[in-house]
Amino acid sequence: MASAGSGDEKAAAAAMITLISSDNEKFEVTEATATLSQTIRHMIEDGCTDGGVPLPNVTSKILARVIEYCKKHATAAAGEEGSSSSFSDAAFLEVDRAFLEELEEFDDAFLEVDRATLFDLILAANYLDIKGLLNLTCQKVADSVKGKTPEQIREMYNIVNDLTPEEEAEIRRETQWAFE
Amino acid sequence: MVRRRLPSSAAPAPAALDDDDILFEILRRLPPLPSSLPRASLVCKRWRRLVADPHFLRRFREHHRKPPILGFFSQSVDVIEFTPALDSPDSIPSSRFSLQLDDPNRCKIVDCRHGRVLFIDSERFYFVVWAPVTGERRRVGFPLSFLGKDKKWVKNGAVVCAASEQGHVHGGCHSSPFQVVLLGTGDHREGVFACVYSSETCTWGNAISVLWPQNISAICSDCASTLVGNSIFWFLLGRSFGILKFDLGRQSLAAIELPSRAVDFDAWCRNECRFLITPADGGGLSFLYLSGFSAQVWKWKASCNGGAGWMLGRNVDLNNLLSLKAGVNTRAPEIMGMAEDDNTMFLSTNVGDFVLHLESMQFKKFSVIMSDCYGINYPFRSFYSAGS
Repeated sequence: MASAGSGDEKAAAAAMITLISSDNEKFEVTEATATLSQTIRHMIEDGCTDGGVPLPNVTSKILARVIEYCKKHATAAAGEEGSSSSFSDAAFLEVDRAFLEELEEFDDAFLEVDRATLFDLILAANYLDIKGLLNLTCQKVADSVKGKTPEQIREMYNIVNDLTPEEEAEIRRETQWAFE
Repeated sequence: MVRRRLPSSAAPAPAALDDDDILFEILRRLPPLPSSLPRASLVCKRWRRLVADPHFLRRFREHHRKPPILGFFSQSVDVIEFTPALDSPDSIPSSRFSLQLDDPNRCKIVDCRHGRVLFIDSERFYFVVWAPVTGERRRVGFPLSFLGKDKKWVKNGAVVCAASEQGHVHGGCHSSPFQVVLLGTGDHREGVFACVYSSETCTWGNAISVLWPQNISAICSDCASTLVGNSIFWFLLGRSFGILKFDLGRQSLAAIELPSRAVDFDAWCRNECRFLITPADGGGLSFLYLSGFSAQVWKWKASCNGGAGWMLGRNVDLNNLLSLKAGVNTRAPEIMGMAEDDNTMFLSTNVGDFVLHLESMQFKKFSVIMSDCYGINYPFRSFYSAGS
């Protein structure tokens, strides 16, 4: 991305990282994109990325989506650093605002996925330790539970009710109003 | 034997939900409304265990930062009333937060903050602090420095959470210590006295005092305190008006006079105006003066010569702002209460109730029927855990 366009091919090559999905597909990404993942950042710091980073828990389908997210947000992070260091006038604030709006739109569109993909993204974000992506995806699931009854939540996510009738009765007795 | 019903489809639960860390991250993002955690706890044993864990509850509060207003406490002669502010299923019934006071005719509600309500009985010389969510209450006698030959008339007070742990978020403060600041007046020449009770040590500190500013001789006992930053403020009155400041950090008292042009003394005598001490956006101090349909917001600002003074910030005609279409006999808007954490006040008008942000003057209709029988409606903010 930014480094690839710099013209210094050697530096650009040095800043590229290869990620290898569980189904052995290889993805070339910039270091700036890859280091949104704390897990990969630590591997780079430890010098363990030669020959690619194997990610046995992430399929190529999910990894492609994760990289799409990281690319967009790495650009945002770079933009923020640039603007806060030297520019603070109204024109730049306006640009920032527009960019944040664009980022929000991107996030909303990014979350338009089926439930299985959403949970796979959560597992990947958790494993790769990408805070922003974990926040985004977990919030989406929390929002889906909002206002639902315990029965509806179990139904939605195929959760088996293992509470004893006594336990259920106790919870309902204490907070009857919460189930009305 | 009761058969546990399996979900209709035989598909297993998503693998992500089997991971405790991920479930933790999802559930702490549930809305901070009172029905959220009780409902989650009724899904299955694992969810129930997780949402009852103190570590989870701490992170839940940290994530949301500000607890919702569950409702309002008010006092109608001898009854403490709770009016829920949220819609079903988050509407907590009044009976859940009911309190039987030993002597309700004498015990008066004076403050509500950080999940606790403060009552004072000036005739029998004690206060009661009550935590409605846990039902716990503590009754404490006034300090010796306020009794006997040094007798002070206790006029007002405040309760604050005294949690000292880093990153504490108010809204589940029941297990944290609290402080009560009691205000009393003695001989007129002595001025105003304050004494602080600490629930941690179960002791009173030394009484401190400040002289009355000129033309001021009383603590307003019908006005609630306001916490701004680390100081508590009360309204003072006499032939002129002022604000009393108690700095919790320095444990010091100070009195600030209000500009004489801000307040119409005759209107005050006729009970035609009201005051609110409010936090200004950005952490400063301001006060609102409401007379008829006119609301003025004054701000305490540092001046260029190193001093500080009051400056008129906004002057708003509520008739125009709220489209009240007031006629000659229309009753003026009344202040029903104030939420210091939001810098908003609750107004009752001829066309319904409003919640009004005091800095931006943005407003919206408010559907809660507040008690207008006597005095103030104290907003009660708290998170609500499943085992509350």
